[in-house]
Amino acid sequence: MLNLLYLRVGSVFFLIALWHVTALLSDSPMLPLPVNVLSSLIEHISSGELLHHLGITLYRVAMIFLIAMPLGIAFGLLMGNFKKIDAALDTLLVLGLNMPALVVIMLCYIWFGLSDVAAILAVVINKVPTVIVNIREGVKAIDKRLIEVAYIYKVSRYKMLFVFYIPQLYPYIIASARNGLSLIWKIVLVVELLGRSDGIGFQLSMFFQFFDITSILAYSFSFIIIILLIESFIFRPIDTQISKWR
Amino acid sequence: MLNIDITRKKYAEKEILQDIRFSLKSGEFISIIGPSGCGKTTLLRLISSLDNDFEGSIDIDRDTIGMMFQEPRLLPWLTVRENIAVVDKVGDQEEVLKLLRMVGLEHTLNTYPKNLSGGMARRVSLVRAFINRPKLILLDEPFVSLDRPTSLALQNDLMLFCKSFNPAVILVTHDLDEAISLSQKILFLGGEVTGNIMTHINENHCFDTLYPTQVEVIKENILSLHPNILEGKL
Repeated sequence: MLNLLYLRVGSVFFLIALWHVTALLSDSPMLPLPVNVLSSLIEHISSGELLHHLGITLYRVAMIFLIAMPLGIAFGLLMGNFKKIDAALDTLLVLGLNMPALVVIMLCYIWFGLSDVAAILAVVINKVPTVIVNIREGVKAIDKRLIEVAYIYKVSRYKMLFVFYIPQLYPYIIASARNGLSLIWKIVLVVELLGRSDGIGFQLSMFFQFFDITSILAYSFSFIIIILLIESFIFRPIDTQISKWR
Repeated sequence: MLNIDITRKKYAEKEILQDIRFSLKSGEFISIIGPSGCGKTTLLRLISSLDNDFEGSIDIDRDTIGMMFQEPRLLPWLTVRENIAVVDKVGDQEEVLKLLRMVGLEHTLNTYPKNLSGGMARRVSLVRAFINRPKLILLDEPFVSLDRPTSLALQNDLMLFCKSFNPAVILVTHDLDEAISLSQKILFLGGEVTGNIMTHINENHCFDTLYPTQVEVIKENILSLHPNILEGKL
């Protein structure tokens, strides 16, 4: 256990050390020293402006996550279980999967205005198809023999879903939640850059225009730290909890 | 009273079951025996309504069926207690504990299935089949791939439950010994070759009324692999 922890921390330190050496050698404003990025981060935090924008971005990410995951799971279950629904929606799904994120964002902004609703909708549309595909695959891998047990004992629909189906889909749900979060926050920044006047994406576009690489890196790190916290304090404990029977 | 009347069951254009008629009172134990591929399991799936695609009628109360499969089919993410409680309308925990105690598994209440031996898992599956006091128990080769002592112990537990709760039981098996020692009637599924033959077993675990011609038919066509068993029991 301890060795694994060393490996986790060690790889991060190695990356920072590499960065530090490269920055020292290149001695260019294009690549600031890690320590400068850190002090910039502290500065942005203490002025309160970073936390403000971070909060707004996190709020959007959370909203999108909470809308897209249940929606994707529900449609994934339907399409995995019912051939007719699958046939009806499959082409739409392929379309949704391959629609460029940028096009969806632009259309949403044009049709629904430069609002939060349009921003959130745009990312939801981008995210839902990937969840559906994951869950649909999961449904195909479900052990039908256990579902027969549910039929024999006439279990309620609620039990069928939450006791027989969902637990078999946990690995697929956790996987799509993980890569869902990463996809969502990447697209949210683009959405903010294109049409919002707050959030990290908006701030990054400002720094980009001023060539303020130190601040760009500082903002990115603030978000990476948040994602790491979510991973270690939400995803991993949930994962351990629901796999304790393995 | 259960009435089963299956005129025909086709599977991929092939007729696998025809003219199967029998009825069953509560407390009665019938075994269905025949070579593999003769449609034993299919028949059980029709009775349990896992498969409803057939010609004929099955008149049973489908609300109270308990079933054991060839595998224990416990949900690996639930404890033993939770696995038994997946059956709807399970009463209090005392009931679960009482039945587990009857098979000597009360200590496994909060154990996950991966920590149970094969025999233990089957006994849990047995408890699950009986927990709701069903009027009909369906057993699809529940003793298959168990070693002899474990299989006999499980058969004892089964008979103990049958005596206590008095359901009608249908056992599908390919083991004639099992069928003779457990049941009051045996249905030989011969399909097109021989037709189906229903026989009675008396208290001494012997065939009651079996005509010599039937013996020949069963020996030749159904039990060609081990005819001696039949000889010995007659």
